[in-house]
Amino acid sequence: MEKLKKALPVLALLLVVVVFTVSLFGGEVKTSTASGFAMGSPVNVTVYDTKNGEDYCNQAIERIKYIDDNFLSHTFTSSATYKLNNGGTVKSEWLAEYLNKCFDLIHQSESNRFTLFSGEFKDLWKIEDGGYIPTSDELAKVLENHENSLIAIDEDNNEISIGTGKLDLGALGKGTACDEALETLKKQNVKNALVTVGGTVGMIGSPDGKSDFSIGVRNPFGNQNDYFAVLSITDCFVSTSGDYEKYFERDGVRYSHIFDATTGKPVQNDISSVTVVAENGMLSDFLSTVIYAEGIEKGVKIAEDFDASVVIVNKDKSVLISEELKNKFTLKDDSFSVSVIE
Amino acid sequence: MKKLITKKDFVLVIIVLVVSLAGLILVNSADKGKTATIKVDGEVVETLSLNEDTLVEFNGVVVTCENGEIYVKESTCTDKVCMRSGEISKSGEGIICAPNRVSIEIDGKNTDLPDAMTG
Ligand SMILES: [Zn+2]
Repeated sequence: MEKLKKALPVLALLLVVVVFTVSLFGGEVKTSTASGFAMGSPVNVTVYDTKNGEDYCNQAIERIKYIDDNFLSHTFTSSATYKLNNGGTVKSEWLAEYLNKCFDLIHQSESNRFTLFSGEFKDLWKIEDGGYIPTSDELAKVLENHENSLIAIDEDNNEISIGTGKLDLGALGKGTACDEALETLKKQNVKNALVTVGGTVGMIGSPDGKSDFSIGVRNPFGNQNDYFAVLSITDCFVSTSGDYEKYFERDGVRYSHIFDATTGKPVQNDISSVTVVAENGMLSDFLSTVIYAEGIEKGVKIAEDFDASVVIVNKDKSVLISEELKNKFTLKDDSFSVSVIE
Repeated sequence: MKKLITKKDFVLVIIVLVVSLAGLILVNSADKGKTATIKVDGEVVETLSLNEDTLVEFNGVVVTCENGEIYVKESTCTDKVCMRSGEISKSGEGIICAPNRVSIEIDGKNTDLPDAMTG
C-alpha cells in the first residue's frame, strides 16, 4: 500500500507526459471529408475542426445530389430540366425562383452570347461524343429553335414551361451546388469548410491553422494536376471556364463546349480560360462562362459591374488579373506572363 | 518531508519520454510504401500499392500501375480526359473520369499542394 502511494505521483506524471506527447505527434486538428459525384463532376466536402463533421459533410453532399437529381440534371429522367426539355411542365417554387435569378443575371450582364438554352447546340456539335461540324441548314434549324426557347413562369403557382429550345443549366449548376452545400453546413454552425464541385470551389473560414485557403488555378495547357498559379483567398467562390477539358479538334481548330448563342457555334476567341472570384457560386460560375463567351474587353467590364475578380489566361500564355487579386495571386510557372488590369 | 518524486523516478520518466518519443517518430516516418485509393461514386473500391505492377478495372476505367506510377490506360468514356491526364505518383495527385464517376488519388497529405483546384 505504501509502495502504491509512493508510485502514484510518478504514474500521474508519466500519464501526463505520454498524453502530451501523443497529442503533440499523433493527433492533427480533426478534419472530416466526404466525396461523391453529381452534376457530372466529382464533389468533395471538407469540414475543419468540428464535431460530427462527417455527418455534416454527408448532409452537404445529399443536398447537392437532391438539387441535381430533381432540378438541374439534363440526363436523369426524374429531373425538372429533363421534363421541361421533353414537353412537360414543372411546378416548383425553388426552380421558379432559381430561373428568375438566372434571367436577372443575364439581363444585368447585357450579354446576348450567354444562354441557358445551349442544350441543342451541345447535341448538334456532339462535343462530348467525338465532335461533329454541322451543316448550315442544321445550324439554322437549331438557332430557330433557340430563338423560340421562351420560358414561361406563372407567378401565382410557380408553374414553368418552355418553348422549343433545350434547357441546360450545367453552366451554373456546379456553383449552385457549392452554394447549397455551404448553406447546409452553415445551418449546422460550421465555420470552416471547403466544397468543390468539379472546378468550382466554395469556402468559408480557414483550413487548419492558416488564414486563407490556397486554390490552385489549373494550367489550361497541362493536365488535371497542373496549376500555374495559386490564389490565397477565403469566404468566396471560385469558378473556371475554359477550352481545355470538353472539346474536340478538326483541322487544327479547337471546338469547346461553351457556345455563342448569337451564332450557335462554340466560342472562338483568344481566351484559354477564365477564373472568377465572386461572392456566391452561381455568380462565379455565370461570370466565368459569360466572360469566356464575350471575350476580354467586354468580359473585364462585366466582371467590374458585378464586383468580381478575374484571372484570364490567353492562348499566348499572357495572363490578366484584377487589381484586387494582386496580393493574393502567386505565379508558379514562369512560362506565363502576368499583368494587372488597369 | 519525504520527497514525492525521487531522482530515480525522474530518470525513469525521462527514459519513458525518450522511448515513447522515438517510437512515435519511428511510426510516423516509417515508409509504408505509397498507396492510391480508387473510388466509384465517392465510395472506396480499391487501394493499390504503388510498389506493385497491377491492372484494375472499375466502371469501364482501366487503371494501370507501373514503376511506381499510375495512369488510366483505357476508358469507355467519350471525353478521354482521364486518359489525357498522364501518370501520377506524388501524394495528393489524382485522376478523375467524370463520365464514369471514377476517381484515383495518391494517398497522403502533401503540404506543397494547394487545398483545392479550380479549372
Ligand atoms: Zn474518362
